Amino acid sequence: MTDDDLRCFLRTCLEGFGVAPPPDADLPVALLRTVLERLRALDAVEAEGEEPLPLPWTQGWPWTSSA
Amino acid sequence: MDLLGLTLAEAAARVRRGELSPVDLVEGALLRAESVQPKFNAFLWLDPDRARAEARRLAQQRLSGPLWGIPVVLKDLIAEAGAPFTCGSRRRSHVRAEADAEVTRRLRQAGAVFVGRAHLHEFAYGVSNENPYFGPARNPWDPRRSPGGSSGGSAVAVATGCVLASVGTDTGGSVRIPAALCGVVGLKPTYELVPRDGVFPLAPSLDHVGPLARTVEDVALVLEVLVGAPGRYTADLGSRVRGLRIGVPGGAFWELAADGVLERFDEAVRLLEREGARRVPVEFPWEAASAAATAVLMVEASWVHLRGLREDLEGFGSDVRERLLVGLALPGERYVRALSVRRVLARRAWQLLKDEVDVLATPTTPIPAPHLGEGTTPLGGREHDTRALLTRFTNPLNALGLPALSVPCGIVDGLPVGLQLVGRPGDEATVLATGRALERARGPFPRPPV
Repeated sequence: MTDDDLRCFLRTCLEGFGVAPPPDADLPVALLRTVLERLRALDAVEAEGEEPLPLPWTQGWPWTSSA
Repeated sequence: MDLLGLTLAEAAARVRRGELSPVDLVEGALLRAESVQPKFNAFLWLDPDRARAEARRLAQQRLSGPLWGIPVVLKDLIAEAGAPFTCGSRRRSHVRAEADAEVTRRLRQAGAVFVGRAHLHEFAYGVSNENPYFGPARNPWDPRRSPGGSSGGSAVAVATGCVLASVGTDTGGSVRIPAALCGVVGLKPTYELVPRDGVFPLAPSLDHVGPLARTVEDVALVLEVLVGAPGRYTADLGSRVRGLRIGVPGGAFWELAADGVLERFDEAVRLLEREGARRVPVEFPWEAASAAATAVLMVEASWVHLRGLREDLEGFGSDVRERLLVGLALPGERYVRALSVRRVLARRAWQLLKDEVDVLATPTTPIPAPHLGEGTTPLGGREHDTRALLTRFTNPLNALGLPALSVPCGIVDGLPVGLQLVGRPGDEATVLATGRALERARGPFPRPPV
């Protein structure tokens, strides 16, 4: 995805939330790209069937998997 | 009264014995704060009249708390009735708290005297404590450098002897990082061990409230007050570490650090080994834990601030605004996946800490304090984002909810660095005892050249 594509994507997301940077605002495209790449590390963990909630420590330690 | 010459434990003992008055302690704190404030900017607000009045009131009453007359400062993210509650933001520059946070109430009941409000990174969403409205806090070891953040003011106030303890918050490292960079002790407790009522959120499922002080014993004393458990953490502080299994992670994730940091870290672990602890190599998917923390932090922080972004986008500093905008654009699937991964990894970490090791040890940060304004730092032959570097070794523990303590372990190029000790959930006692053992083996840590 080019920077222009990302910029358009970011602006569309923000407008969807009712957040309206000025048309000439310098949007944080580089940061968005860096963060999205960094989050790929999530895919290295086998989490099939693991429900996202509740937070583990609300159940008392240790707890059993939902998978 | 030079507070730099006293620990909190020593001061509290002398007050109990009637050798020291809260009035003298607080006066010493205020004089020190007024003296160093122009150079290091640790405080967003000082209130000498209120602090002196409180000290006089305590001096006339029967001593009934473990922190009687002890000068303390809270990060300006933690509500204190009648005091400013800016959260380091221009948008809240006129806000005053109507009521105490729960931790504030407990500290007040214990006899702590609040001398002002500690500086912080805007809304706690950063680790340099460079604040566009209130100016940067400065590192007491080199004022051209960052003290770390976001609880930077807290760490500076403790390191310069303005107070005997502070309480900050830690969402990705914001107690441990400034503690390490300023040469003091800082604890991120187990998630939810310390109540967050009355603390302005950054990312609610990652936010922790934790103490900073100059020694492990002092941190333990404050933690007992925050948790409402007298004696729980100081009773076994003298425990020996003979037979303790210390997990030391290896691999590329941990090798991205300055040579001096790795050397001081290794020396510290060897000190513990000489006390009878055993080093155990461990492996863990730290990169994934860090990614989970990042996704959760960015999405939740943007949720917290959505209204502000809609109503007053320019009212945020540029670095905070950028991160909040990116948080709104992260796919929901990434956030949900991060929560699932977090459960998987927390369970794995628990198993590791149950079956293979008793604590984990890592450097707190890969680098010592960077210069103010430094956006990238050279390491391993290339430039790295400084903020990402500083949180690299701390934010995975926020995702896992484990207690993590930073203890000063050495000096690199004239700057302090910390050792991070991580324990089982709810096992602050072992983490603190290990930190105390390191202090005993290391000997007194130098003070900043203030």
